[in-house]
Amino acid sequence: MREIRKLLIANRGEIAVRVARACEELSIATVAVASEADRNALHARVCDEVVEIGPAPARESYLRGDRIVEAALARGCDAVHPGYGFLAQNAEFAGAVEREGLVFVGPPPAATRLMGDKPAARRAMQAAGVPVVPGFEGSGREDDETLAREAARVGFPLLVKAAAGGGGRGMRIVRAPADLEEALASARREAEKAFGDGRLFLERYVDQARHVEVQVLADSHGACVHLFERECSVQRRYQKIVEESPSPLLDPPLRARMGEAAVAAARACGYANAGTVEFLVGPAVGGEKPFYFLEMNTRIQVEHPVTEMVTGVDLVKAQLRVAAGEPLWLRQGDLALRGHALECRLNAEDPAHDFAPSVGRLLLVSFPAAPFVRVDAGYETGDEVSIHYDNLLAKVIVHAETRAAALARMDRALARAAVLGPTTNADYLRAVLAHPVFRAGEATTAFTARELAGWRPPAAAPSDDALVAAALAEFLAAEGRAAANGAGAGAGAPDADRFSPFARADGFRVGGA
Amino acid sequence: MELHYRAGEAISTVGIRRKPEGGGGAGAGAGAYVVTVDGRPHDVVVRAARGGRLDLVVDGRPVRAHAAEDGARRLVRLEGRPPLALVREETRAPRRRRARGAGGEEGLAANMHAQVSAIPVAEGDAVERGTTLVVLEAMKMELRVVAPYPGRVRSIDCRIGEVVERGRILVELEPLDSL
Repeated sequence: MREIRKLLIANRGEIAVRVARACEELSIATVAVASEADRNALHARVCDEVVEIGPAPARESYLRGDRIVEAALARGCDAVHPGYGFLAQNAEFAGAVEREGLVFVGPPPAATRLMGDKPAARRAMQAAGVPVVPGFEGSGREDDETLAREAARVGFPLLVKAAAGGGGRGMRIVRAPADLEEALASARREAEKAFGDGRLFLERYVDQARHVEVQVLADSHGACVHLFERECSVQRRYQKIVEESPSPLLDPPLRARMGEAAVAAARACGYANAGTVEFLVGPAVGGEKPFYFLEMNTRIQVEHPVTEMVTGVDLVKAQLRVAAGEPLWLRQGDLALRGHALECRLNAEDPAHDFAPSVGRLLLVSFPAAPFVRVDAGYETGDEVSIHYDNLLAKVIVHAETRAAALARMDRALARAAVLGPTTNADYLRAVLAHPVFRAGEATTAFTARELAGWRPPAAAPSDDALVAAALAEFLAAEGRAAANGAGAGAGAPDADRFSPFARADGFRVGGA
Repeated sequence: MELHYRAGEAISTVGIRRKPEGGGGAGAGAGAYVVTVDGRPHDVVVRAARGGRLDLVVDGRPVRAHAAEDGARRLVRLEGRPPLALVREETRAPRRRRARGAGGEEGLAANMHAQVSAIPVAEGDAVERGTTLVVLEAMKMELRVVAPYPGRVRSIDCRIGEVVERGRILVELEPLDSL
């Protein structure tokens, strides 16, 4: 056992805030790292200490592993939590943390390295008896002629994928043999540019597939359990936007089989800590729905809260406990799914302009407090959304007894959530929730492209109600200022805001840039 | 009190009159009002107005809204509706259209708020349709501004590393057939 007393959070936004909250409850002191742009960001404000690690661009700050390790040592930390994204799946960073005698809150570097190499992971999974999508993985450096021969064996349509890939980069769908050569060339180029690694492999393209992933939790003594699945088929441009648990697709026998496969996958790579095994589930063949290993995410995931809601397990706290060497306190038989949980990702993006990033100062952020509604937010009123980081503002998570009740609860939560300033995808998310295909639990990974490509935000024509509200807000603000001035010297102007119905985001903040 | 708001090109005028017997006095702003929108009168009770949140009763219906101000911009959102952007105007007079810069029609604009990460062309270059002129980057998204027609780069109006707003002209491209 290695007691963790002080932890550096090598991340920003909502996940850094989430980790800090878990640390508070465990009486672990927290150190935030922040870029110059994030000096006064919410994640920096909620931690006990802040270390500035560089300019706004991530490659000069949040991706500077050397500076982060240095900061952890300088501030007397005994552990580092990487969150997700940035350095979370960088085995060199994890190794550097451990070499300095610090606890890395995540899997051993060897597990991250194995799972980060997709062809190697496919081979390891096959050896462990975990089904993989039919395909071909060789050295990754085969010539086009060899790959064409293997492609014919795999069958079309197929996917050309980058060995070091992720997020759809270096990936091409090939529908006919004639298109293969060009796809290989362009995928190789893109992979070389994005990852510095042009190795490729082939996978059969599973049409009408569902993306179902299984949460696992392993200690450093060889114990491993799974915490059931999350359905994440609703994606836009390979980015998940709505996640839920349980999956409407799975029945108890399939759930048990996929859970066992996920545990086998974790064991095969010597996994410890929280991780996620992603599977594709194909259309039923002879009454059986086939599932295939896709990849393992060797970190906490954005959508972990839905699992927390249905299992009652605090995954971030669990990460900290197993990282400290505590033997797993949960047995598979202790775990059960309760009710239905749903998560929506509220992004700063403009659906009216092809979902382009929408940035700027948040003039007002207001999330509803309601029964069984949880909001993990990275921002508050007055905070700045920067072009330098991803566009996730907050995750809205609900829990209910049934899926139908969870959908209704989520719709109300999104209707009541108010964000003024940057544009959000809230109305798009509500359109997903209202769509009959999604409501029937039948959305595949092609859902948004097929069903919502023509979706446009509802016209925001000024209604009389809106104009009444705008004018009254203005009128009452003026009245409040007059009242404050009338109150005489001493009370003064700063007090006027007390009367103002407007949200104002220009408030003074100590140390503000 | 009369206030003017512009949404797109349309301007609306809102008049506010406090009712003498409105049960007011209980807290800032609480009370009853007659609010007219372009001459249409509405009976309004303000139940609460604080911290950007307004709880109103308009013609007997509950209306919950959030409002924020940012310079002349007013953002208002009715519960469950998309946010609405208004511009506060001093008069009802229609706004004069902003004059466009010379050659503006040939200017290629940024279609998102982003950082300029590369400019693969130089002033004076002749380019084919589809040539990448400027690469923008924001939130891990890369967006290429490409030549919509064959042309000659007349001027480059941005720098690498610069942060540009949506709508900002980045490059002026003279159609080649006009040379």
